[in-house]
Amino acid sequence: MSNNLLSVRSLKKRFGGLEAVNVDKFDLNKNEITSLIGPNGAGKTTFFDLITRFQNSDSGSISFDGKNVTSLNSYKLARLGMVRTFQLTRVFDRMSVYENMQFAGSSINNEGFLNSLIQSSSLKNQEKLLTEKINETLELLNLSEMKNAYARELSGGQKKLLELGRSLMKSPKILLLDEPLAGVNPKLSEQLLEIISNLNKNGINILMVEHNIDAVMKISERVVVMAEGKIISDGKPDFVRSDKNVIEAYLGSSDE
Amino acid sequence: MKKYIIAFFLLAISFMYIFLSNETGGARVFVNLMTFAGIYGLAAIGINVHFGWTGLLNFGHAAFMGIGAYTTVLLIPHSLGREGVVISSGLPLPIAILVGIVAAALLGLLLGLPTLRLRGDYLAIVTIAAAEIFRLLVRDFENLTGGVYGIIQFSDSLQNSRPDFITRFSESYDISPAQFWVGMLTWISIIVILLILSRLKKSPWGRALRAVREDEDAVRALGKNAVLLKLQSFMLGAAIGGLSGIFLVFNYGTVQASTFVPVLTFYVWAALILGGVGSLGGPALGAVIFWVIIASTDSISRFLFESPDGQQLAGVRFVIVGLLIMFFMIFRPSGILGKKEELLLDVK
Repeated sequence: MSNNLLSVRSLKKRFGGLEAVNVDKFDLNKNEITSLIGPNGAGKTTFFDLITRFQNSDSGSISFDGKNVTSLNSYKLARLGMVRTFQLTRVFDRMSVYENMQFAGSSINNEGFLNSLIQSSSLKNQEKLLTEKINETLELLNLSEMKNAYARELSGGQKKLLELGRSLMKSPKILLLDEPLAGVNPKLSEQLLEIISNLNKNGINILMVEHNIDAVMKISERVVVMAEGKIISDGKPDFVRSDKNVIEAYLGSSDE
Repeated sequence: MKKYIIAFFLLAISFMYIFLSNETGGARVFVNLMTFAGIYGLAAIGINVHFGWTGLLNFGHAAFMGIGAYTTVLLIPHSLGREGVVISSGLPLPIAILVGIVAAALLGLLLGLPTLRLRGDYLAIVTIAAAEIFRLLVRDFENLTGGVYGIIQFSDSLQNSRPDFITRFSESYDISPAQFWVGMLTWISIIVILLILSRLKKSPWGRALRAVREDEDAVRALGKNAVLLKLQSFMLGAAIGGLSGIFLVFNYGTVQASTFVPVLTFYVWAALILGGVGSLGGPALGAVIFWVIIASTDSISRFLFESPDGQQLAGVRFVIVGLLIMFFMIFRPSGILGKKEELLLDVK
């Protein structure tokens, strides 16, 4: 238990008659890239929503970093270091790229109404310090040139990068990426994968949902396969690749 | 830069029109118009914090204006309309105004707590309903609010503080000194509030509100409490609305439930749209343009009808305001001072 960063037990979620998620046991060990794959409608995103507390589960328990977070607010969970991105990219369209990053990085204390009204010198200093980290992160993601553009002017791939960059401003313990490569061109995909594995080397845990199997197999240390709400296979990429259950699930869904 | 030139010309033409169309008493008409414009402008600044900054759809601004007005007036010496019950003791006016503003903010809290967890459209519905409930309540609680007869004789608390030079100046230009004083205080408040708001808009708090406007889920995913931010914004805008309501009733000299009808809210929205949603000075500018239009509808009515009655005047007024808003929505949806890039088309 102690070396699990994230630990999920008998987590269930139903939508009417559909059992969207039914996961008995899922543990995340420290510092790995774990990928969650499975056919469409397998419950991957719902599973993401449940563990990040964007949706309430019907039953089950979730603990993160040694704390029981089963009924914690999503934003509080994010403060503990579990930061997610979304399948449909969510950037702040009518704010500049730089402001997107500033908002992500600024402290909750500084965003207090009174502190913002008074604007002490420490608040101003902290805002200045933020600049350095923002510039570094934008540099890493090749977004420096777009710094002053409105986020909605970015290309789809660049928006994905911005969303990732924004999450990094939170210095997360674990990053949950929902289809980070969707709609991203091959060249940018390569780049993104490299960034992701570098982040992992620097101590950030990664859990991602991704449909690009080649990329998943290349980058992941562990692959978890979901189908019809359940985890049907879990292990090293090579193990999963040859697992009969997995082949059936995928062929079954692609044949229909 | 271009938009400021447009704004300048619009204002210049408007003011020229006022003075040319009123050979006698141009100054009086001007002060009357600018006072109302200031009051509506202040109210629009409140809605701008809600909608322009945070994306909250508030269609019940009249309730915030009303509760501010009623609270303040009831705390100072006044007399209830029908029976003429005179209450001659009360709090000092500045304190009463402060309590009125706080009351408006608290009404914001009360309405916001259950509704701000919901999506924008629900808030719109709840605020319309709440404003009507408020109006009907104050109409029916006759013992406290004077019912349909309203509250009168409270203006002295404000007018006693009027400096002599205002009175002298007013007399030499044939202006109502009482209205001049109310209008002046309104515009001073606007300047002070805009200074505070410009500071807040650039602050981390203002940035957080804009993030909420753009995408609440993303705000949550980044560890920020979106509901708290919305609540704070809602209370701030409500408080500003409360202050504008206070000036509104001091301008009328009476408080009546019928002042706080839904159309008041929609006129304030019209001013906001004309001026530019999201911009700092837009709401106040929009309110001036709005009132110039209202004033000019009278002469248009006289052109259309030989001697227009109240109903005809009101009808022409509605048509012209409606046409103008349509015109702006089609040709300049960002208003006069708004940024095209920050245009709010998709409300969440």
